[in-house]
Amino acid sequence: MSGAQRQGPCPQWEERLSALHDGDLSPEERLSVESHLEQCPGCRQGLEDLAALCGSLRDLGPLEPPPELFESVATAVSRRRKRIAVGATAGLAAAGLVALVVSLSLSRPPAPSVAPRVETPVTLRQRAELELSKAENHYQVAIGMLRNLADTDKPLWPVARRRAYEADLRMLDRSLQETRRLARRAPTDPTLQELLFASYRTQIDYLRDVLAPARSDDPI
Amino acid sequence: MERLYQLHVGRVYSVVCRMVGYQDAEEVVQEAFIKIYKGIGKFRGESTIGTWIYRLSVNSSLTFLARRKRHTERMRAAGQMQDVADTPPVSGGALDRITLERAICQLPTGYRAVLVLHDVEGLSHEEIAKIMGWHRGTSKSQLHKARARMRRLLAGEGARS
Repeated sequence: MSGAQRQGPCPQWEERLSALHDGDLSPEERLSVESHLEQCPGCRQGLEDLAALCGSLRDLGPLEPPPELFESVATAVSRRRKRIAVGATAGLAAAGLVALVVSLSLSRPPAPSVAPRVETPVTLRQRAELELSKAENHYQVAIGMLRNLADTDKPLWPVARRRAYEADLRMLDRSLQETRRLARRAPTDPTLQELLFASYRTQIDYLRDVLAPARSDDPI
Repeated sequence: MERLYQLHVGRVYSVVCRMVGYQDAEEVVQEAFIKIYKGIGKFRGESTIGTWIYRLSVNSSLTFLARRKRHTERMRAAGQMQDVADTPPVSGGALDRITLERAICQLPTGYRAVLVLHDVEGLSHEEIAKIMGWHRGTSKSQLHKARARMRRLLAGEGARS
């Protein structure tokens, strides 16, 4: 497989060489590939390389798990069992509440109401600030609840995952603070508002992913 | 519990490591075993227990990889994410263990799964089709494509493609 000076197999034959190696070709296909091989040194080399690759892959064998892995798996399984036994009802209620709050937050995109009468610029700004605060409050409640749930799960996570989660949140918080600072400076600017809400939604999506249940693993 | 772990940890750990990389393997192995202990009572015996355990290991890995991908995209969108440190491009040379493991890590997820399950773990296409929810023919064609991609990676041509 050292490739640089070697001629590779013809691209249109490459998958058939793999099938030939596995004995997966019909007699007709096999004859056709073998006939091509007689004329094509690149494909002959490709077939040899493929056999070497498959041999090397087979020889990789199992990886040795670190001895401390059992302890970490046993702890995770036992914590999960306790959590399921003790907290199933509370967990479902909390998850439902979070889902409700999040969906309320997301399904009612907050926007400053348009005042029908003419107001002074100061009054407009104050109203916009008030509406912005209300909207932010929805997001902050949802984020607070999701963070609480993540904090409950966190002791189950390996150290590396906990560190990554904390680093991610710090980064997302910084990003949120920055957009918040901009939106507060010009509360009537719809672009800055949308940027701020997008930052909140990013954090909510991130936390939902962190807490996401695994995909279906029905027994087969 | 320990007996079940000892019996199957080899295959779970090997598949998970090769699917998600060593750094994140512990977390994914934990998830896989939580599913195994949770589901063992409902195991219907329609496949071998080995196939079922491979399926849980692969599913846990795919779930993790999907979450990591979404996370990476989100962090990039937030403008502060550095490129995730991929394994370096593999150059030509002898097919040593490290070179092979690195090339496997660079395969797209589906190719990686089929190559690990077939060529490393020695599963049949029937078993892989059950694990991945594919047809048998899909498993075969994915394997041939995965090997072709491996060849290019090992030749140093497709490391960033």
